[in-house]
Amino acid sequence: MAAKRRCLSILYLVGLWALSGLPVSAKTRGSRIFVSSQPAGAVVFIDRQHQGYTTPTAIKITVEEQKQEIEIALKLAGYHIKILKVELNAQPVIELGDIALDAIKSQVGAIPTQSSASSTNQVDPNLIDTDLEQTKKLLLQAIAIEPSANTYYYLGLIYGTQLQWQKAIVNLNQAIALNPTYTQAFSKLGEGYLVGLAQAKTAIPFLERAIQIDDQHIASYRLLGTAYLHLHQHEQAIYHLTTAVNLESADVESQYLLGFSYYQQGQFLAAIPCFEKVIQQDPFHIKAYFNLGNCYFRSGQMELAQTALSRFQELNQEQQQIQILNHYLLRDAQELQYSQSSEIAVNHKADLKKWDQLINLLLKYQLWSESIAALEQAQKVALKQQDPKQVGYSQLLGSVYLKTNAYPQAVLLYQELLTNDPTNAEYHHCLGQAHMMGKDYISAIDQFQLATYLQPDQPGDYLNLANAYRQTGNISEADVAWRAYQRLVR
Amino acid sequence: MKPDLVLLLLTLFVSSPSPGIEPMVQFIDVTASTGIDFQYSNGATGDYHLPETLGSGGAFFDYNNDGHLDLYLVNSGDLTHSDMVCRLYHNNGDGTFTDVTTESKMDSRGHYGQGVATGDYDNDGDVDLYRTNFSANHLYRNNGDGTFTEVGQQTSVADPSWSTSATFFDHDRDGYLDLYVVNYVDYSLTEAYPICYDGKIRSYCHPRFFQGVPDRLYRNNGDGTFDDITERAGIEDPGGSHHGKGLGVVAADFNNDRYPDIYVANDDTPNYLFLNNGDGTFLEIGTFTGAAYSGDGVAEAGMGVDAGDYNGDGFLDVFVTNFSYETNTLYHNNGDGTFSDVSYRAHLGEESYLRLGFGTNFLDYDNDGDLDLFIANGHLSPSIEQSTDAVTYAQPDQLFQNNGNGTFTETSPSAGSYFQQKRVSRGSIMGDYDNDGDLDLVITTLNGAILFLRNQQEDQSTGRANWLSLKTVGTVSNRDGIGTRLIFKIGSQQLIREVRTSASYLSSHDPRVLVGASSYQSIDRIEIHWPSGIRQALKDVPTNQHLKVVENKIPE
Repeated sequence: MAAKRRCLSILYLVGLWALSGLPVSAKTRGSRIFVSSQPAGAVVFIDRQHQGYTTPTAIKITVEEQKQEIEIALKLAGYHIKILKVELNAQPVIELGDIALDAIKSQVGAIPTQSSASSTNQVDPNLIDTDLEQTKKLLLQAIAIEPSANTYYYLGLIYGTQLQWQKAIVNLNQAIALNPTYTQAFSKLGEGYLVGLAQAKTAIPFLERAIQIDDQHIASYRLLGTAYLHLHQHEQAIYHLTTAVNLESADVESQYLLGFSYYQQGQFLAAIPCFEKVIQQDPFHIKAYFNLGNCYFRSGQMELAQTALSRFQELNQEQQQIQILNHYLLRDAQELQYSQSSEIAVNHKADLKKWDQLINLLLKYQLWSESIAALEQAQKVALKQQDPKQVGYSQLLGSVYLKTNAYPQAVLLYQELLTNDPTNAEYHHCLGQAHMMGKDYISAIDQFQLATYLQPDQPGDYLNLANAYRQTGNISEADVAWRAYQRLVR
Repeated sequence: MKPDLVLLLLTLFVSSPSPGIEPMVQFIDVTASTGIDFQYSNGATGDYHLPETLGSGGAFFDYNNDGHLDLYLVNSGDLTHSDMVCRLYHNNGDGTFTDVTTESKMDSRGHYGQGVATGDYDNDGDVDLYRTNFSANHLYRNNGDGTFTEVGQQTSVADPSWSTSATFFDHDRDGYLDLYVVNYVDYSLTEAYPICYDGKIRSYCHPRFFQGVPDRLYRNNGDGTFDDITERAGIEDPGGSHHGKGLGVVAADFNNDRYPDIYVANDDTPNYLFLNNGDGTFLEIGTFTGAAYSGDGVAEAGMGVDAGDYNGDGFLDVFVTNFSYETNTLYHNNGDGTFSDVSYRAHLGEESYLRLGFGTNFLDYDNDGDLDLFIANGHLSPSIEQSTDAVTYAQPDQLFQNNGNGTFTETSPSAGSYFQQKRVSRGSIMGDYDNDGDLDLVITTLNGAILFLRNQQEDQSTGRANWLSLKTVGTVSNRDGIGTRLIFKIGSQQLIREVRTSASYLSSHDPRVLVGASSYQSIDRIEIHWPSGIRQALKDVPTNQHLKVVENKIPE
């Protein structure tokens, strides 16, 4: 705990807050992958041991690109690259954790919601889609060599993410043709019709089939409930959404939709506890405040309505502020990118206060990936302007990396910070934290030792050191560190 | 809310399906035969300026009082030095039109036109015209001799903001038409805005990235001038929360207290419902009444708007067109001061999800007595098809028939070949240009010609449905009778309509009320509630005629 507080204290130093509530980390399971160490132009073979066959992919490898290509290949195979440790010159056998079926989904994101079409409006073309496009190419190559239900499924997911719904549906159908009991494919197909093409009636049989195959598939119940909501069949909607909530009480979206179904039915008193539960779990769920306010309003509880709707408006305004700031700050980012071109010829002086406002809001709403993107850009802008804030942005970025389990990025960042400030105990501490997350306990021990050397009165580092030693099986050193920790906390 | 209980009781009735005639309606593209060769240009030069996306509107109005609707069409052109001219077309009464722009002295250049509102603001018996622009707006006073004089500056209504829609209405019921002007966002041609993309393709920036600008309310002083009473009336509150990005407006009496309220369709910001307090001020109640957001709390991209009592319960409902991946939204007026989003329930949800709606009209296109819907569609991003395969740039317009039970059925597939074609539509203007007793439509398109659609209806067994067209002439009330509430009793049905010219998107329509009477040869009773408070009634009025009703100076 002490160690965590120290890393996060960076946030408080710059007046930011709300970095609580770690996103749920993905469940991992051990697996092995074999990568043959080959010269440039060779082929990488990925052995999906758990499925017992080898999928060759025609990936050209250069030394510089090798790591990236391997990562893409791993994506293709369904491995989660963020927890991948690749050492090209080391042993060919690499240990990694992977997320089984939903790995690509975690990479490409969930199938977008209603606002996705317009939300793509602001993305810099050079910063998006590269991964998706490359993964798509590889999937297509894999299909050409050896079609499988999974590859079609992943391809369907990518097309869905890119709002290419017709293509998504074609590929999901292919996945089902090869694997007629592919729950996720049926569910996604239903989602494609429902969310992508607004065809609730068409979606229903696919979602029902998904549930028939797997009666615990929460997403399918949620989607089925949504489909019935669209068709104004509230009883059915309530039935399926209740099932989803019973299966997973933490499923905020199902809970919200359940409340919304009651609301649509005019059962305001039944809807209120649903929206209250949503807000308990997600204090920033704007729509829940809106509907809660409406329920109170329509059931005559005016003061409560006023409170909920005021909160709704407040959150809405902040969200708008995020969007506006995001847009105007994009200019800074574009100027950085195109500074050599004539496309933006204005000598624009970036306003770092605006970046701070945006980062504050993004962190408040726990929009982690957006926070990372904003911090990375702010860092570059500050660097260009030779503003000392650059260091602050880096520190924040490191904290967010750690918060989001992006430990490879955290390791790189803290290593870079230490290059410029090698005696900064806090950086050593944070780097140790990052190594701990990456299960690189030896490196973690090095960093915690350095931290205790530089700042011997910080109990948290001894505690972390003890933990790291314990992980390596060195119990005697762990005890030494533990005793040092106890002395300091006394 | 201050419901007029007497009126409430008068207007309550049980909805019942119209008996008899189910005419076969076709909308025929007669553009070529009208002689109108108007081409809209947004002047795009590749800089992706936001104003290029909006397109323009137009107006059906009888500028020379010859009994035939003339047509005014707005053009835009180059944003910095437009040489495009908005056009006035005189209706020759034989299905053709003649361009009279120059003769009418409406040929000014250099303005990037957007929308238009019509009304006889000086009560001199001829209709004047207000045009919104990207730059200062224009008021064209009708000289009564076929010419107009631009008096925007001298009458103090030349709002310099980027204005879109506008409406004439008599907010204080003093007999003079006031003017509500909808403003969009603060946009400068010289500002170096960030470059925006659809996927990897450069495109127009989303309006969310620009600040909204408050609308304007101008009070007519009755002497040919106006006062800006925006703040005093509560349209722009001191705290500045009413900075919506307005595109559409309709003035209508939503709570049946006989004072016109204002509904504004805002893009990307909550819609406004300004309740008229009856004392010259308004109260914005959109959020609390459920009329500002979609049913689940999303501030949608409001474009066009119209108001009408689609379900015959005596209260005016609201229909707003929105962006793709949103639905168009039908707000049902619950009659208790609240509104409910019934888009899906009314079968207007999925049907609009992949469309981007702009112009819209409640119109009884088949004259069966209930209000149907027309929607003009078209995306604003030319590159949209490269970032999705579910939404297209050009889109077919849509026609929905009212089923009489709170739901609609899309009838586009059987309403003519026009509805099978995709276009980038924007404004929709309705009016009975050929005086044959049905509502025709003119559609404006982005960088294209207008589409002139003649309503052609016929029932193969029993002939055409019956109708009545009613034109109000105010004597104590404003001369156009704008804001007059009409209650038609036809058999077991009671229909309410209001006289207005502005609705849809950037457009103004036929000021006459055309009511469908299905198989009825006469209308049992017509109650006329003038804005002045004067009431009149007509009994056993034969259908299939154009009726002019002059306000009695002495109440009955």
